[in-house]
Amino acid sequence: MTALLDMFGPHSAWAVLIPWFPLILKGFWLNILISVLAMAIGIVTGAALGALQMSKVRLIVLPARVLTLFLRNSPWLVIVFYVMYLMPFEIRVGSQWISFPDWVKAVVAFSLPVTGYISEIVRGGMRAVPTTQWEAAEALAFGPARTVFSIILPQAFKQMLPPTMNLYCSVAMATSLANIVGVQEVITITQTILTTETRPGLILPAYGITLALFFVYVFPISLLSRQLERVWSKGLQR
Amino acid sequence: MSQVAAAPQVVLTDVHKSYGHLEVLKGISMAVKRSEIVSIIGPSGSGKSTILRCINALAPINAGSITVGGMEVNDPKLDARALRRRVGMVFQSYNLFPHRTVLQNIMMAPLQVLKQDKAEVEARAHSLLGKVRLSEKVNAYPGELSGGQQQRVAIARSLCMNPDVMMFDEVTAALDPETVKEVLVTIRDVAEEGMTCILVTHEMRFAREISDTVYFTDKGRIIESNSPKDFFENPQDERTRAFLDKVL
Ligand SMILES: Nc1ncnc2c1ncn2[C@@H]1O[C@H](COP(=O)(O)OP(=O)(O)OP(=O)(O)O)[C@@H](O)[C@H]1O
Ligand SMILES: [Mg+2]
Repeated sequence: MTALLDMFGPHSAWAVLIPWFPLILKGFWLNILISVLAMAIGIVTGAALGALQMSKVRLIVLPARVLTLFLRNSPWLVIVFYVMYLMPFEIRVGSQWISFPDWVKAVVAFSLPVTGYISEIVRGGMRAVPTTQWEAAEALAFGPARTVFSIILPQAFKQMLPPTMNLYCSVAMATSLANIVGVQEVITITQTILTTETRPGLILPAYGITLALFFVYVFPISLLSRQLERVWSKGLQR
Repeated sequence: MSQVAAAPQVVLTDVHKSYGHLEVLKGISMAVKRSEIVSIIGPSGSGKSTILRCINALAPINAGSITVGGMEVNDPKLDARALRRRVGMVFQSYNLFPHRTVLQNIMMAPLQVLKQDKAEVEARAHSLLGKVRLSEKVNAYPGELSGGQQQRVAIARSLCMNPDVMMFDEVTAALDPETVKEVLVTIRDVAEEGMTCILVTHEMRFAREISDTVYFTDKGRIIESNSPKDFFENPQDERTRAFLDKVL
């Protein structure tokens, strides 16, 4: 009983941490923002890259294939480092200066592996659509780009969504890597709290909070993805 | 009659086509006049589908020439889209877009490719659906239709592009015997409106009734062509006779 009271008493670790909650949540919000934006960008660029992989022209396929493999097989942390140090702090567009805070660089960094993974997901999804659909579109005077976006990708959608959701889960968790380059996301915030509060025994509960936050956010998504996969795998056998 | 109207719509001159080392078409020549109904019959693998695929440039040819309405199909500068909006093609396996409704299937190409006015296209789509007797299925998805119904939608979809020529590649081959007729009736309606039609078919009776000219292909060559009456009653070539004996 006293042990329990100790845990929640006025001098407990929790009592120390609770005032920090708004800041922790603010940090976690940045993780969500980075992951969502990186995913959004990566989906667009990855879909384009995946479509290029399906081209009939070898001179297009080969670079698209190499780039996809490169993006998929580079460690995310290394990509984050490279983007942080190679991307300029600001660029000039016309007479306007656009600056890139660290978290924006993180978005760009994470969108790169996402591009590679989405490219592969898109390629696999498009190959699953029967070639007769391409032919029917071609006979109706559809050009290649319109065929892909109006006819092939919508049909590949069901097959592509579950792996894309799983990828998103990985991206959301990977955003914690951004602390290494100083982005004010939840891990960085937690580290700041730990150096500010001198009270011992805070490390485990503090990181426990971030663990819980990530779990509560990511688990439902991965659960839904598994569910969709199960339901749709039947419908795909057309 | 003007010179243009009298000139043949589709002309193939000594067309050769190979897949790798396999020569599939070995010098095909034919001329299809405006509003003519032409049937191509012949054994499996004789190159019938390939002829159609070459005509709308789905498959490039190796030698010879094909023109559609004066447009040179083998021209490297060919505007394939311009050609394909003139030549409609219906496939054995319907190939409707399963994620779109019947109406959307029909309207997609005119809207997205030809950039035509939506209200106008929609009116045309409804009238075509009436013509193929499927008005009540406008909002159905292809998966909810029978094979014969899907095939009629596919015909309406091609017609909505206002083509000059329609090509039908064994469009009844995948259908139940009961539904074959409804599709043949639809093709007949299209033909009777003056559409130039090239059909590949195994329906000998239908070919005989509807065609102006019948072509017989074997091993990548046209063995003979004739009016349907002469073709079926008095085949000239030994191979034609053997084939007709087998299928009739
Ligand atoms: N894409 C392709 N690649 C390689 N060979 C092909 C291809 N398409 C057709 N062929 C070959 O070309 C030949 C003619 O095929 P085609 O489909 O034109 O015949 P068909 O007369 O339509 O036969 P069927 O009555 O069975 O439809 C066949 O030997 C076939 O194997
Ligand atoms: Mg065929």
